[in-house]
Amino acid sequence: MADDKDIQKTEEEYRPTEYDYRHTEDARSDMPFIVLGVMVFVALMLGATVANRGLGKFRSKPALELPRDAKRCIRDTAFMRSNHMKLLNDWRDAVVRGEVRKEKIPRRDATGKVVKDAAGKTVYQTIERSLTKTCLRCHDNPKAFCDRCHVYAGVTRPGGSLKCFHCHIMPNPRPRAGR
Amino acid sequence: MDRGKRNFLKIAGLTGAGAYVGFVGAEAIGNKPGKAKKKLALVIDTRKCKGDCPDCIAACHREHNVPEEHNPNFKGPPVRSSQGIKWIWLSTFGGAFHEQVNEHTGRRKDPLVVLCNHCDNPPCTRVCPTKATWKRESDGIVTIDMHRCIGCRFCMAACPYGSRSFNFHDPRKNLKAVRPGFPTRTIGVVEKCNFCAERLGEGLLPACVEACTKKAMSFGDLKDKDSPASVALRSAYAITRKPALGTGPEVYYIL
Repeated sequence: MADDKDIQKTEEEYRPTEYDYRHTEDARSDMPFIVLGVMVFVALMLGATVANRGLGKFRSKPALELPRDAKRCIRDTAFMRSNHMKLLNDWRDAVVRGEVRKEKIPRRDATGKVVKDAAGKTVYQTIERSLTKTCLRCHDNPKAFCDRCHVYAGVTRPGGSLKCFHCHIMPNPRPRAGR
Repeated sequence: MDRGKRNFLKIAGLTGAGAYVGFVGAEAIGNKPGKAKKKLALVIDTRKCKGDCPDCIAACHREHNVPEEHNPNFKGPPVRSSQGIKWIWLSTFGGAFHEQVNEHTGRRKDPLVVLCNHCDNPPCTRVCPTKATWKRESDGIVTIDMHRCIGCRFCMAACPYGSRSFNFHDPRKNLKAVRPGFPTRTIGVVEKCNFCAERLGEGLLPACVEACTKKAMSFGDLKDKDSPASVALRSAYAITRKPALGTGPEVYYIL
């Protein structure tokens, strides 16, 4: 037991003493670097934002090229605006996995009201679940519709294009009046 | 027997029964040969097809936007022969039926048309880590979901017929004309013959069958006794490629 006590004492003796480095010359000389680092960080962050689009441009909405002759989409605008990607994924799964190519949707008139027949029943129309055959038949210029909005929303990098069109073939945009 | 042990045994028994039902159910919906509702097959009559006209190949490749890089007349950036894309192509008898070669098979020199066999028991679908390729339950077509393919090429290693090609580069660079009706593929995905699933959906025959001027190809459902493929198989003996592997090819050759 006596030996143990001796060993304990020896260890305490050799424990290095804590030393406060905060007030040494070395620490004070770091301050300019820290300030400079923070300034560079802030400049980079702000610079990226400004270089990306310019602060003012964020408020202006992108000018989307809407279909020329078609007035009515297969779903209403609010739904398409928030859910088009989900719809496209559902269509893809239905066609590729489920082998169901057609879909029935209620027919709508020019004002957006669902058309009813004489008996008061909803009139349906059959559409094909196809990006190229259905969506792009009206939206014949995806660069001025899909890409323009995606770049605005930060989904696609500026000048980039959607991955869809790596495989699916982009149509030739039809000429528009007044362009 | 105390209550705790009794309950434990009850739960254990139920768990076991549930697991058994689960296994049986998984077997029933699993990828098992011969469960497709239809059994689409292609019968190629080599007595009529001498492999001398490229009609079926040209039609298929035009239909599906397949770059003709392996075609000797192709004009474009050079592509290594192993990196070309092919859906339907010409092989030799020895290349297609290497088990059947004897010292006299070389007497007939006609090339053979070969394509994906749409096997009953496809080894390619089993190895796919993302389930991007599978055998369709409705008609037995072995198909690929290009959206999901990650380009690992396990399926190419698994296929004993070399039916699958990998897009080493952007296929649009080597396409002379793009047909808008069918998507091209993109760099980094595997592709192969799809038995013209998109045409069958519209009630048309596969492009190769339709293009064959010699009527050497018969296509149809083998579960339907009166389909052209069934009739052709009744009329003559036919062989398949590498039957010993147990893949159950659905492309038959009348010799």
